[in-house]
Amino acid sequence: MANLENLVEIANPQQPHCPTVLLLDTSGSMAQGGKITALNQGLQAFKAEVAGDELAAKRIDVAIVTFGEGVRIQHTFSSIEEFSPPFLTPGGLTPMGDGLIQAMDLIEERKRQYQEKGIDYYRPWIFMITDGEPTDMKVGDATWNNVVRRVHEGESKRKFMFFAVGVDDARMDLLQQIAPPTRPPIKLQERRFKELFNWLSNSQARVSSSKPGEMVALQSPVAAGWGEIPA
Amino acid sequence: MTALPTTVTSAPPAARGNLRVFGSSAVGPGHVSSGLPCQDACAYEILPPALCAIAVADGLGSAAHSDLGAQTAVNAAVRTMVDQAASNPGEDLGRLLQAGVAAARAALERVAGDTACPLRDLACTLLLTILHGERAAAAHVGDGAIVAKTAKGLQLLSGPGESEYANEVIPLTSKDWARAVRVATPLDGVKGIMVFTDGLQRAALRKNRGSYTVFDGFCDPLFTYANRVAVPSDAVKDIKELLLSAKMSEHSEDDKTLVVAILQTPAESQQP
Repeated sequence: MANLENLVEIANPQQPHCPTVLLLDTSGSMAQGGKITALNQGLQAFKAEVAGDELAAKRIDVAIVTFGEGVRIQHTFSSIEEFSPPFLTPGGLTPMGDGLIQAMDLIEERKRQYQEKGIDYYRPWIFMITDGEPTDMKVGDATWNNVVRRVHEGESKRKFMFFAVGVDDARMDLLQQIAPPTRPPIKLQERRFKELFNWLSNSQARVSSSKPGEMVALQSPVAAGWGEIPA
Repeated sequence: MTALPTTVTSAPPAARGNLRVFGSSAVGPGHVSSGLPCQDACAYEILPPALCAIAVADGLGSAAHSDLGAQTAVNAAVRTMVDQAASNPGEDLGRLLQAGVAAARAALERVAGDTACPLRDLACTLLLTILHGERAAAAHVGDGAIVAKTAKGLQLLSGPGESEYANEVIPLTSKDWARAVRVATPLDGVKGIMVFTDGLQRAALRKNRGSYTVFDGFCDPLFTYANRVAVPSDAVKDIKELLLSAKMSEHSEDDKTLVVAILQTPAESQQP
C-alpha cells in the first residue's frame, strides 16, 4: 500500500484568518471610575483566552486603534500569539470619526495582504468601545456623513461586521446613528469590562471554529450579562 | 420524527477495462472533537465501456442532518446520471449533469417530507462530474473543486466559486439553488479527474487575489499514483489514510473527500 502522505505537498498550509480591530476610546474621561484600568485588564484577559483556544489562536489576527490624544495604531495586525496588549493611558478628546476611518482602512489593507498571499479569511470585525461622543465630527457635517456612509456600506456590502459598545455617559443616540441598522449599539452594564471581553473572546472562538456555509450565532450580550440594547 | 437511517461515507471502488475510479470521505479532527459525524459523502459508478459518473457532497456543519443530506444527494445524483446515460447513449453530458443535480435536490425534498426534517437540516454542497471517453464535464453547487488531467497539464474544471469569506457558501437546499448551479465548459483530451471538498482546498489549490489555480505539488503525485493502481479497494484505503493523516489535518479541521477517476495507460497499469 502506498503512503500518499509522503507523496503530496500542501499548497497553502495556512489556516483561514479572522482579522479583528479593537477600536478603543482613551479620551480623558476614561481615567474616571477605573475605566482605563478595567480596559487594560480586559485586553490582557482577551489575549489569554483567545491564545488558550487552540483554533482561535491559529486564526484570530488582532489590531488595536485608540482615539484620545489623536488617533493611534497601538498595535498593527498580528496573530494573537504575537499580540502583547499595549498599556493604554487616558487623555485628550474623542476623535472617533478619524478612529473609525483608520480602523476601516486597516481592515481593507489587511484583506489585500491576505489576498496577495492566498490566505483565506473570515468576515472581519471592528469592535468599538467608547464612553463619550465624537469631538471631531458633528451630525450632518462632511466627516460625519463620510464615516456613517462607510460604516453602513461596510455592513451592507459585508465588508466587515461592526460592533459598538457605549460605556457610562456614552451618547447612545449618536452611536445608534453611526452603527448599522442591523447591528444596534450595546450599552455596557455597570462597567462589566471583564464580561465584555469574555464574550468577545468566546465569540471569536465560535467564528474560528465555524465551517463553510455556517452563519455563526453569537451569544447575546444581554444573555451574557454585560450589555443591554437600548430601545 | 422518524428515526433517520445511518449513512456510509465510503463507496466501493469500481474497475472496468482501463477506466478506474476510487475515493473516500473521512471525518475531520474538528468534527471528532465536537462529536459530529462525517458530513462529507461520495458516490461513483462506471457505465461500461467508457463513462464514469462521480458525485461528492459536503454537509454544512450547522445543519443537524447534513450527513444524511450529503449521502442522499450523491446517491440520487449518480443513480440518475448513470441510468439516463444507459438509456440514452450519446446523451449530452450537460443534460446528464443537470438531471443529476435536479435528482439530488428532489431526493433531499423527499427525505425532508418523509422524515418531517426541515430541508435546511439536510444542507450540503454538491460536485458532479462525468468522464466519458476523454471528455469531462461538471456541474457544481458550493465550494470544493474538480481538477482535470490533460495533455496540457492539470486544469481547474470547476473551482470553489465566488466567495470572499472562508465560511459562506450557497447549499443545494437554498431557495436559489437552481441559479447557484455552475456548469463547466466541457474539456477534451482528459485522462484523469479529481474531485474534492473544501477540506482539501488549501492543499490542492493556490489562491491569488481571489482566483484559484491547481497546485501540481498536490494533484500530480495523486494522478501518477492513480495511474498505477491495480487493486481499487487498496486505493480507497490509501486515500482514506491520506485524508486522516497529520499532514492533511494540520491545516484543515474539516471533513475531507477525494475521488479520482483515471484512464490508465495500458503500459503503466501494473503496480510495480
